[in-house]
Parts: sequence; C-alpha cells; structure tokens
Amino acid sequence: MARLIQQFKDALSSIEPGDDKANAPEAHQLVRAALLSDSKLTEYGADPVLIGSYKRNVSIKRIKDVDVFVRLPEIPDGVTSQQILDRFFRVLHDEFGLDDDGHRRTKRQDRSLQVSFPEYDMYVDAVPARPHADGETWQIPQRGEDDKWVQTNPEKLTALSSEMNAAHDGYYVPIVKLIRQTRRSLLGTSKPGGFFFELATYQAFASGAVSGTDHASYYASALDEISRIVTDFVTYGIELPDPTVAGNSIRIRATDEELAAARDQFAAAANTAKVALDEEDEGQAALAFQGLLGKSGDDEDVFRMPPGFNEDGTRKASAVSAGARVVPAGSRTFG
Amino acid sequence: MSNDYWDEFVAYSQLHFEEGLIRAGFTTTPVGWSGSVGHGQGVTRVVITLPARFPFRPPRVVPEDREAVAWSWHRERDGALCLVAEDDHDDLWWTDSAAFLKHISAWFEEADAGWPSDRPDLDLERYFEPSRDHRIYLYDEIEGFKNAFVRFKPAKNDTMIMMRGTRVPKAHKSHKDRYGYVVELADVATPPRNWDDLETRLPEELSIGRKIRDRSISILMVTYHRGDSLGVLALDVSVDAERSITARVLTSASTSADTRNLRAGLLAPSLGDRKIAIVGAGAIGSFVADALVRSGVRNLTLIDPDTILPGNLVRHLVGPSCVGLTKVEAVRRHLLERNEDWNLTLDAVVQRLDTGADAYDLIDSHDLVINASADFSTTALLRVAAESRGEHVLSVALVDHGATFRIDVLPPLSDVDATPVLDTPDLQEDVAELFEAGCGSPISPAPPHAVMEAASAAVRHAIGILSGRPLDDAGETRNVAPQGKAHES
Repeated sequence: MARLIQQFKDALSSIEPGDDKANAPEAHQLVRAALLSDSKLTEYGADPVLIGSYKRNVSIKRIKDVDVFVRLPEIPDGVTSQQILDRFFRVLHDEFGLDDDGHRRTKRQDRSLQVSFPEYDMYVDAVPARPHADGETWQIPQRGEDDKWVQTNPEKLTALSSEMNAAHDGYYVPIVKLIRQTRRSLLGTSKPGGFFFELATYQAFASGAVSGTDHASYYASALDEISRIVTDFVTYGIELPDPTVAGNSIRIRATDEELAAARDQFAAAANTAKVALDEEDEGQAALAFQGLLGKSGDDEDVFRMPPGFNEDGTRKASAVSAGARVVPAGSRTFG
Repeated sequence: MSNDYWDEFVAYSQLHFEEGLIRAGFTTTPVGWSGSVGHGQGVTRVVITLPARFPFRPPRVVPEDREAVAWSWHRERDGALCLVAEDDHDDLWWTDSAAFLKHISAWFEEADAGWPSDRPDLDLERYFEPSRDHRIYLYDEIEGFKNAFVRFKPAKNDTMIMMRGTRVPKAHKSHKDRYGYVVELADVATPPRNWDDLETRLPEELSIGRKIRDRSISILMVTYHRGDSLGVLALDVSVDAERSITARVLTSASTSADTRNLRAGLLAPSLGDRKIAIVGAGAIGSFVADALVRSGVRNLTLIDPDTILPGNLVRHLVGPSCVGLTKVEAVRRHLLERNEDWNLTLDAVVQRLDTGADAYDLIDSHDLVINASADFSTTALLRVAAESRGEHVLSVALVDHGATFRIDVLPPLSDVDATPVLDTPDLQEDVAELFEAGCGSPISPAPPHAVMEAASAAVRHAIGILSGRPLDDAGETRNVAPQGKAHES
C-alpha cells in the first residue's frame, strides 16, 4: 500500500502552469479592455469574465488557451450570433492587428474569436453570450449556425468545482489536474479532451464513489470510477450529464477509434493505479504512477522516483533498511 | 559522502517509515501521524512524530489522551512513551514501522501488566524542568545526611560541594553558599512530575514546604531507591509572590568512591588486594601502571633506575612537570595525585633489577611481576627466576621499531610453544636510526599509540592471569603499524 505523499505533491507542483498563470490574466485584461472600448458592445452591457480550466484552477502546464466569457445582458433580441461575432472580430482585429509574421492575430472560430498572444505563446478565446430566457443561464453561438444559440452556464461549473473541492478536503481540484495530466499522457492530442475528463471526474465525485485519505488513494479511486463512466459512455452510449444545465449532457467530437482508445487506456490505467496502491515496494509503486502521469510540459517525468530508488524502481544500495548494519558495532556500545 | 547521499538516505528512511504507518491506518494531522495501537484487549490512539535526527533517533510517540495512559517511569515528562533505551540503538531497527508499532504494542502490554520486569533506571531528573543554575552540585555519601540540613560551597569549574550544614539565620548566610536539606522519597512507584506531586509524597513531619517558604533552604536533595540502587534528585526550589513553590532540577553527581569506581570494570573489586610489580617505568610501564590503577589495582611496586627527560614525555604517562624526576617517582606522583582517594600503596624503587636474589624477592612478594623493561638481560633474569620459583612473569615489549608488540607469559602457563615471532611488516617507510644527545643507543621509533596499545594488551593479560582466566597460556603478538601500500583516495 504505497501512498508516496511527497511524490504526489511534487507531481502536482510539476504540472502547475507556472508563468502561464501570470500571463493568462494579463492577456485577458487586454482583450477585455479592447471589447469594453467599443461603444456598441458597451451599449449591450458587455461584461467579460474569465472562465474555463484556468478560472477553475484545474489547468495544467502548459496553458495554451484562456477562455473569456463576454456576457452581453442588454443585447437586443434581433442581433444574430453572426452579427455579434462579426462585431467582436472588428473590435479585436482593430486592436490587435497583425503579428510579426504579418498574420492576423484575431481569428474567427465557430462560436468565438481567438486572439493570439505570441509573446506569451497563448490564445484568448472570447465567446459572446446572451441571457437565456430563464434569467439565470446564458446562451452562446451554436457551432456552424448563423443564428442558433445553445444554453450554457460556465460560471456555475466554477462554483460547483469549489464546492466539490471543499467537500473532499481540497482533494477534488488536484485530482482533476492529475486526471487531466493522465489523459494528456495516455491520449496526447486525441479526443476526448481535458474538459470531458474534468466533467467525468466531477461526475465520479458527485456519484459518491470516489474517496480516499491522500492523493494516491483519491487518484486510484477516481480513475476506477472515471474508467467506469468512460466505458458506459463509449460502450453503452450512456451520456455524461452537464452539471451546470439541468437536462443537458456533454457533446464531444471524437472518432469511434478515439473513444475506444480512451475507454481501453483508462480501464488499464485504473487497474495499474489499483495495483500500485496495493504495492508495498515504494519503488515499484512509483514506477507505475510515473507511467500513468507521463511527462510534463517541460518533458520531464511528472512523477519522480522517491528517494532511495533508482529510475527502474529498484532500491539503491545506499538506502538504509531496518536491521542493516550502518555502524559496524555490537549492542551496548561505549565511547 | 555528498549532501545528496545524506539527504537521500534520510528522505528514504522517512518515506519508508511513513508508508508503513499509512499501511497501519495512520493518517497525517497537524501534530503528527495519528492512529491506533492494539495491545491485548485494548486499543490506544497515539500520535507519532519523527525527530529532526530521524532515522538516527527513534520516532516520538505520545498518547492522544495523555492522562488516559498510566504514568510510570516509562514516560517522559510531557507524556511521551520511553520506547527505546540509549543502549538499544542497534541497527536503527525502528526505521521499520511494523517493528516499531509492534514495539509500541509491547510497551502498552508491559504497562497494562504493571511493568513486571522493570529495570531500575535512576533518572528522576527527566520529569522536572532544568534549573537556570548550570553549576554541578557534588555530594559524597549522601545517605549519611538524611533528614539533615546541608550547605553547598562554590568550588572550581562551576561546581558546588556539599557539606554538613545547619539552619542558619538569614543574616548570617553567605551569599555565595546555598543551603539545602536531604530528604528520602519512599514512594517512587511512579515518578513525581512536579512539586505538588512530590510534596504529597514527602514525610509531612519534616515540613519541607515550610522550610522552602521561609527560605531556610533553596535546594532539596531527594534520595530514592529503585531496586538496590540509590538515586538522587537535586532540586532548585523557589517561592513566588503567591507563595507557590517551583522545583527545577539541578545537575548533580556523586563524588563517592563507589560511584567513581563504577566504571572501573567488572573485575575491579577483585583486584583491590592484589600486589603487582612493574619492572621498567618507561613508556609502556607507565601506561601499564596507570591502567592497572584505573582497573582497580591499589598496590604497585615500580622499579626503574632512569630519569625522565623531555624527549621521553611524548610516549610517557607523565607531563613536563616531572622532567628531572626518576621515572618511578614521576609515575608514583602522577598516580597519587590523580587518584588521591584510592589509598594507593606505591613503592618506587630506583634501581636496575640485576640480581637473582632481587628477582626472587620480587616474585615472592607480588601476585604478578610485569616486565616492561624491554631489556633482554632483565627479561632473561626474570624468566629464569620465575621458572625456578614455579611462578610466571608477564613480559611486554614493542619490537621491529614499534611495528609489533609482544606479550609473553614466562614461562608459559602450560606446555605450549612460545608465541611465534611475527613477520616484520612491510612498513613502506625507510627506517633510519634515531639518536638523541646523551643516549648511547638508538631511540626506538615506536609511536605513542603503539606504546598504549602494547600497555593495554599487557594489562588485559595481567588481569586475565590475576583473575584466573588467562587470555592465552603463552601470550600474544600483533602488528600495530600501518602496513602495505597506501590506498589512493
């Protein structure tokens, strides 16, 4: 039963975003200022806020995208999603223009505008949002449609994350990070992405099936339940509910091959973590966790071998063990 | 060893120990690792913390509910369990948490049984805060002062010497002396942990509290017995504005002959009435004499015609103040000065052992003659004399320029061959002969450590013979110089 408390703390430190954490709010402020300088958007009551994994403190190294949710509470009913995206483009392009290579820094996407910040190696996605008829949630443009909107409530997820974290003595947020890192290690750039696994983690915790006393036991427990959720999703088509909007479920763009790979990889990962947790040899347990968490954005092992062990998990000759002769002396020594 | 090696050594030990605690169901809390330890029918929750020197010091264990576990001699003042005695540090065994937890269980089981096989540690000091007075309070045969006033006078090296005292009017008290009282504590089933606890166990008729409050005394010497051993607790007692008494522990030590002889060795008591002659009071002979006295021998005859010269000192027992004295007188004075309380009988004979008659006398009048003369003719004389008397002498010398020592029982105690000559070690260094002005023959290059080792071995054999347990019937020889090629490092 290896818990490797310090090694998990170190692993979490190694996937912390670092400089990106400081750059993200800077980039957000620049986009926010640009949008608020436009009289039309101001007239619509523009009120941009940070959302996404960065805002929920579950982002891991590196942060490439920062999401800005631009609430427009006063937008008239007749303004189409295309019109508002056009307006966003003009405002942002006027402000940010071209980069050093002569490329536009502002790019149109399906439902948002993406502004590049080459100096930070980072993008800010600005998503326009109008109030939903329920008066509580919001709507954002539907992908591929000129004037279709879909319901969303991103700030609710921020609140739900905080509540879940508090309910689990601060273990929920670090486990989301470890799960996102595991996804990155096992699936790379394939889908499903980090957001799907964050919601799968939330669903796993919300089910009551995840518990633990430390990072290792929480991680293994969460992987077990997430694997079950992913298997249900992929094999049986059981949807993953969106906890922020009642009745909604999560939609993802992933091929059947990608989904099958995700299911199989996470099933194997859950088993590996379980075995590692039961392993009494700290070196072998660490080797297993190291394999699951892979490399960080700096291309270094996220999970380091504990002191006293070689990189292959074997114990170093220098490590003391009880009963080993450290001092060549008998009992009842005198000096 | 690099710092990395050290850090990893320590970090692994901690990791491995803590992983074991987790397996045993312990969890981290702000005060340490919290968990349950089973013992017999009971379970006790404890907090385990690792000291700064872990793994070189064992973990600390405190019951979560300090008062729920019976107080005893096996707990520290703050309630921690006394789990590992100073003489039980072999192998850092506590780094295995399973073994350590088992040991805690055994502690509780012993406690539940009332400590049936308790050993009488005399360390009541552990249960009181230390005084800010760091002087050492020395006392002699303290049981003769029971229920009596005593007085401590300042002495050199920040010591205070106890002597009989009387209750003295405040006005007449010397401000440098401290006044105290000796009292016996009969009830030490559990150690008292503060003044109130202690006062309730002291004889009421002695009014110790009143003596402290009226400032007749500021020191309380508490004697107690555990098993056959006598313990003494020296307390610095004071009264605050509310008339409450505070007791803090002083560093104290006994100056009694028994105490000073405690460390002389298990055979010391049997050596006090043995009479030993040492022929040759040079380098080896002087250290032989010193080691014999330290080991309990009280009656020595020293025979040597030579005088101490400055060049002798580096390999000799005595210091520069003895230059010009005969060697036997120098050694005699040194031993008497250092052991003034031992009632030593030291005969200093300034002569060379030249005649058979002298050798017979020496052998007949002593339990053992040790020949440290390193002189062939003296050795031969003593051997023949011993053989003719049916006795044995012990001879010690360094040979091969100090590279080897020989101990010879002459003649051997049984029909065995003499100790063989060792091959001369490969010394690597060129051995040039050394001369000093006034000396007719070369000086031995034997180093001081070889002298002490040879002397020590000779005393080991001497005590073996005197106690009827000789180490070897013929003696011993050993190389004591660095040998072979130097290792490159």
